[in-house]
Amino acid sequence: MNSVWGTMASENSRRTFVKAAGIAGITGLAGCITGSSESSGGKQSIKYWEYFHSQSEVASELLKSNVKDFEENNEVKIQTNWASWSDINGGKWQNNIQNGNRPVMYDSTNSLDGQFIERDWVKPLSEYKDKLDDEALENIQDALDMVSSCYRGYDEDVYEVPIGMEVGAPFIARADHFEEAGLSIEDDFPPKDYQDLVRIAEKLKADGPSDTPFQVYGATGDVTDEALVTWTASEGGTDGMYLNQDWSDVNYDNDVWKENFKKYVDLHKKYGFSSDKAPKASNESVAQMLISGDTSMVQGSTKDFGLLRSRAEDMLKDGTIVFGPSWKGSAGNRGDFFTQCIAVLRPPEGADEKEWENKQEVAYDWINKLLSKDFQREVPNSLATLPVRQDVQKELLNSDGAIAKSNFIDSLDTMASDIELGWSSQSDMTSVQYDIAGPIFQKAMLGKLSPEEACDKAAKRIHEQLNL
Amino acid sequence: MSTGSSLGLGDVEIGDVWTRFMTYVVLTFLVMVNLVPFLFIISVSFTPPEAFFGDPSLVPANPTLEAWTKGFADLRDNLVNSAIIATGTAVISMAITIPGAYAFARKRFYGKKVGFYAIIVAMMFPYILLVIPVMDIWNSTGLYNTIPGMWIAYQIFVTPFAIWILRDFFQKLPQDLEEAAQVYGCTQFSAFVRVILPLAAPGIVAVGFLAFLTGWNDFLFSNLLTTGVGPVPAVPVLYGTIGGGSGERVYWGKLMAETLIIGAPPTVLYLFARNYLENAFAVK
Repeated sequence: MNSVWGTMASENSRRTFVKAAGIAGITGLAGCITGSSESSGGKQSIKYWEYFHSQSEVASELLKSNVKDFEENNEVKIQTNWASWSDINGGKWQNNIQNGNRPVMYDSTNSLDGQFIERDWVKPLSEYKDKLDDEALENIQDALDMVSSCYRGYDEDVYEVPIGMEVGAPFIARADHFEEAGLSIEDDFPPKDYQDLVRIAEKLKADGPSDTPFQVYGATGDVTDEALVTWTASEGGTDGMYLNQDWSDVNYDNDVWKENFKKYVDLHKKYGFSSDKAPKASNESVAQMLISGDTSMVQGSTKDFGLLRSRAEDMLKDGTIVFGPSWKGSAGNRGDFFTQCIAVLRPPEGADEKEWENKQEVAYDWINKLLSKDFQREVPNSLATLPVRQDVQKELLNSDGAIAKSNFIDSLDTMASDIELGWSSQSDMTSVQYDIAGPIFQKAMLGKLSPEEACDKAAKRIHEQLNL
Repeated sequence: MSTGSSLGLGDVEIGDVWTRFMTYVVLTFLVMVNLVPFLFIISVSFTPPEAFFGDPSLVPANPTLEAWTKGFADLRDNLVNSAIIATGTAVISMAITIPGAYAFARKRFYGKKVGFYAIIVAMMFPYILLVIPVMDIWNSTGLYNTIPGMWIAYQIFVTPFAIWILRDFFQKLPQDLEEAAQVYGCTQFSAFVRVILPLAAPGIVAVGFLAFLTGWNDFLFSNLLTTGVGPVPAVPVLYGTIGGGSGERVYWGKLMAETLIIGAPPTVLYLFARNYLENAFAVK
């Protein structure tokens, strides 16, 4: 009998244990399963799709610490998704918004965001401008005037608030190579025009320490969007941008693009200023060549400052690597720009208007934080762009360290004051700039197509594939 | 007995020595092919960022834990999500596939062959085809951006493969064992539980491990079925560290440290389950 009772007791306790473990497990999981829950202990909670952090480790730390500070000071919960470029570009954000998963605000690069603007998901700045800090607005007015060119295909002037301006593309050079070649970094840099660039490169090649005095790059993601478009924009104005004035056509097959792309390819093919790797090189890799002394000069990305700062800060601080503005072309400007920007979204259909308004109030406060002097001062080091606030730009011009010694801010400031046109926030821009044109332009760098043929072919392919 | 080619070293023939030598050469080569990149991954994870692009060195001059601390801080919450998602995926797949595979192996029912081959054929198509309908259905049913949604989504990958493996395993077990258990008083179900399941343990562990690995390592669904706010597993965070497709700067040390951190739990699990896995996949 005892053994029977013992067995039953043992089975009972086992069942009790299994039940208790099951309940505990389910309860525990419930907390984890509802990871997407917006409840946050009574605090206002908003979703923020965040891209800036992916620009660099410094940007990541800056954004994370600022989000934390903001949450503590405002007693709100910011649900950030720490997104990547392909989340925006690959359709994930668009699919989510279409399916009802919409953030209150996002930050991004303006040329990727036409997909959101053309569907009327983004609230134009005019509808909440009065919520932004007056002093900040006063100091970004020039930037707001400039960015209206990015949204020219839409009804409103500005849909996204610029936080950083990426002006393209500055020259970057090795001062020691100039010196060794008998050139003066003060007088001979930056090149005054294309002929001057050829002259300097020839002298560097003849008397300098590197066989590749000026490195161009043909990577599919960089060949169309850095030095080349800087030249076309400065020579052709609107004709030198990717799309025409009303976004009804692409400009690749016009004379401005053909002539300037030929000049770009000539630097590699005709003059032999670049290494054999040029057709596949990225702007990041040529910046690395500058550090290692394998090239003497490049016309790279604003973002290269971040790369140079993380890998060779001493060379920026002691003036070994210096920045210089691109030349002013016949259209009267020095190139093009795009923005690192932030936007507020309209409420989804059927949403509680009042609740959404309250969430948007938090978004306005956050935008004011990004436009504050404190945050703007960090923009060059983190996003590697020009801060949009003019008072901060002036302040940084007089600062010490890598930013000032390398002439970074001064170069971007000079370029920005002579730039009118930005990359369009048209919904097919990624295909226009990269997916279709990139591989075709690279073929010209490889010598498989002439530059003129590449321009015609890219335009034709875009006509066939896109409905502009 | 020595042959003509013998060196006279007992029974060792020159052919044996040569074969053994070549075996070691090939083995050493294969080990190096795997080991050297792995050592570099470890080395880079301890290398300070400013030293990545200098002269390559297996032993960093100024080793730092910065990449590891940053990587772990980035991944901490996501590793918990990964563990819950991978464990749930394995448990649910076992709950579905053990009875399913047993039925396909031992039972006779209408449409058995067609049903089984339909499951196999389903595996032949690229899963990317399912992305749009799955996203659509998951959104309309509230499964999107939830852990149960991930558990169920991964069954699309795991279940057909698991049924295939386990059916073969159950089929190979002698029919007599089940019948003998029933002669000794077991019901059909208790014979299955007490006799068949223990014998099939290596196969079940192997399939469970593969299901866990799928839930742990998958990128496609873990990225597409989450918004980024909520139950995001670790692998999409790793993708973010690569730069998320933008081609911009990559913090290589953190990328390597995160790769090693994410790879560690399945490796530990493998060490525990190694005997079962070897039995399951042993050629007999």
